[in-house]
Amino acid sequence: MVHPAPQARRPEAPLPAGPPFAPIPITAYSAVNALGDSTDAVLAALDAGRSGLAPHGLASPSLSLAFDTFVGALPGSLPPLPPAFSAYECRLARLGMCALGDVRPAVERAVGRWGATRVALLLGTSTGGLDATEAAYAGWATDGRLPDSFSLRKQHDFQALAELLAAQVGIEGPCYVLSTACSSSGKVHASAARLIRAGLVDAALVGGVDSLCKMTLHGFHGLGILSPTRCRPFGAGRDGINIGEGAALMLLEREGDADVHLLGVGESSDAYNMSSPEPEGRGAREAMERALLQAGLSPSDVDHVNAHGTATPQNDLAESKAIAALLGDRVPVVSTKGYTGHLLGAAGATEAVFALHAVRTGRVPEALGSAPLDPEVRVHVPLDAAAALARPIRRVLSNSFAFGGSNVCLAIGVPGAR
Amino acid sequence: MRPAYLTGVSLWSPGYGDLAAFVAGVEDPTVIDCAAPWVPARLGRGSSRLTRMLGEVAARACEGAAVDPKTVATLYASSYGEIETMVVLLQAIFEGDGQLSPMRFKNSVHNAAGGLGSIGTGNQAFSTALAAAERSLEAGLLEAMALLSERGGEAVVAVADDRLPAPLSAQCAREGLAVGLCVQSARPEGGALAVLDGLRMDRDAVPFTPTFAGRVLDPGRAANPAAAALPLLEAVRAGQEAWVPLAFDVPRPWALRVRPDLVP
Repeated sequence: MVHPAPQARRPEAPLPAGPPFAPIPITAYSAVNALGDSTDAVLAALDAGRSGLAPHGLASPSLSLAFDTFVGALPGSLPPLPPAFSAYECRLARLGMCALGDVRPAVERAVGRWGATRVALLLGTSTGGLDATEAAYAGWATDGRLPDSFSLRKQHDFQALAELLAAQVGIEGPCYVLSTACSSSGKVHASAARLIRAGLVDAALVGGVDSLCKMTLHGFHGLGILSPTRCRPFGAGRDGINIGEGAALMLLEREGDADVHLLGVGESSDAYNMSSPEPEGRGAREAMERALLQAGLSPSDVDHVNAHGTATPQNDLAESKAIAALLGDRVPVVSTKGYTGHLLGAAGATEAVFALHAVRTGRVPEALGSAPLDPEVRVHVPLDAAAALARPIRRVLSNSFAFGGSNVCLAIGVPGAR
Repeated sequence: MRPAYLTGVSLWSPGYGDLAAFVAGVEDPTVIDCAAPWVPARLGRGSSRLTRMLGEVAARACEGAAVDPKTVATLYASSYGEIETMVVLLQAIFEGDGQLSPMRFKNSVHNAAGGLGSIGTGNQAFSTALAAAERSLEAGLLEAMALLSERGGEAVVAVADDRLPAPLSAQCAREGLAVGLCVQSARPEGGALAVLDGLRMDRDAVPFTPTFAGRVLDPGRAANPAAAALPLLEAVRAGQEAWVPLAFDVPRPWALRVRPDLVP
């Protein structure tokens, strides 16, 4: 299939002025989700092409849903919080603590190097501690009182998780949460980069955490976009998303030893519809263009796209139009939601880790669930791992799009000329 | 960090339709909701009063600054965000038939005001939604100052929380309050309300003094995270040069240096 050669297009909105974006070293990272409870386990499953999605009744029976769907639940049980922090107890907090384990030594080193007040902690979430609030509300609906163990401030509040994680590693710099639904933990990278560039901090621990909740599952079911089966990003006859849970963290430092860097970030707003993308992918394309511009890259520099790829008919078609218009049909495009489900507020950070892993290993993940492809999707979706090994991977774009038309694209890779 | 200029301020709270009314301290019990000109009525169905509060103060701050709502960067900050809508959805799950209104679910996201406002104004520029409990104003202004330092232009910070619905109100009693601040990187031709030319982190917590315009704030408004903006509004009104804390009763609050715009 032949498409016009990709061309860089100046976005309609004025692009940011200011100095060139210096690549920011990614000195540590972690991810936990349906693929495993450690970063190694997650990435091994990704490399093996193994999906973590399962019917909700098997993967997370406590959800007790009255409709069919697959979910991506973290396997096994998560350890309780340290006794001194038991007031923060909820599944979200446990997921965050689980992801913190793998980056903790590096973060403590960074705190020692830069000083506690010079390290920020910025998290993305869409659910916050909603799992605890749901349980508390269920108790109230039954016996008319909230459980004594429930704390709105320390469990439900989005900021509670950021405070909890900052306290574990001694971070005393700016500490807050971005919650722009499914772009939340992509946008934290942009915010951290700005804080570093403005000289307010020297390092930032960024990431995202979301847990499975009844409200999100019921909500997406009500919208008619929850698939009753395993999701099929970019696939023919795809019928919606699977929801997952997980956490992912990245340590960004002004200077540091790292083979992979944050090269640039692009953000845009669709200004079109609260829950549907602009059909031609205008906002998605602008986010990608801005990421490339900030990174000083051209479309031909891109080796792989980790797509938002929710597996809804509308999202995947609009996103594929945007990618095809900007990059053509040579770049391997994969949505890893076929592995983890849609992690909502944790999606951006998780997929940033997957993008980084693609650069480090030179491998693009197999596009799980995408076969047979939707013929309307005119991008290169590699359907097996062998096809994915055809070219080196040095620069990856990772897309996250959200309700409210909030779009973000991260450019991750090796700095410098090709 | 480049200096910025404060060019528009606004406030809304039940009983007080704007900042002037709040300064005067004359409560009007008929003021129970706001117009929120950025939120289209059609899309606004199923939205919360908080969404309208955020949209209202963002729009009014931009009006005061003569800033184009179609191009301004928008930063919305709230601690509990769309919790009113969330409770309606929980009610449907645990006390109803489990069927959630798609409209309400879409509007339950923390960035509902940003999404609806961008659609209403056609604004495709930067937008974000922040949550930082007592530090919500601090987060909004840190983000805005860093954004302007990076790319220049204009930004509006809207910080708000509304009263909580039952049963959660049992753990947090507060009255609704919203404050809007329009900031920009270039000094406007006619001058600015104030120059913001320093950011620092202080070591010790600063206790919140619940007064504004010479009167004591009621406990409900004093407990609202948006009340952290009142000392900044006071400093601007007084034309004083001061380091103004952006968060109170928390460790290591950030402070913003505010001074009158004296350049002719």
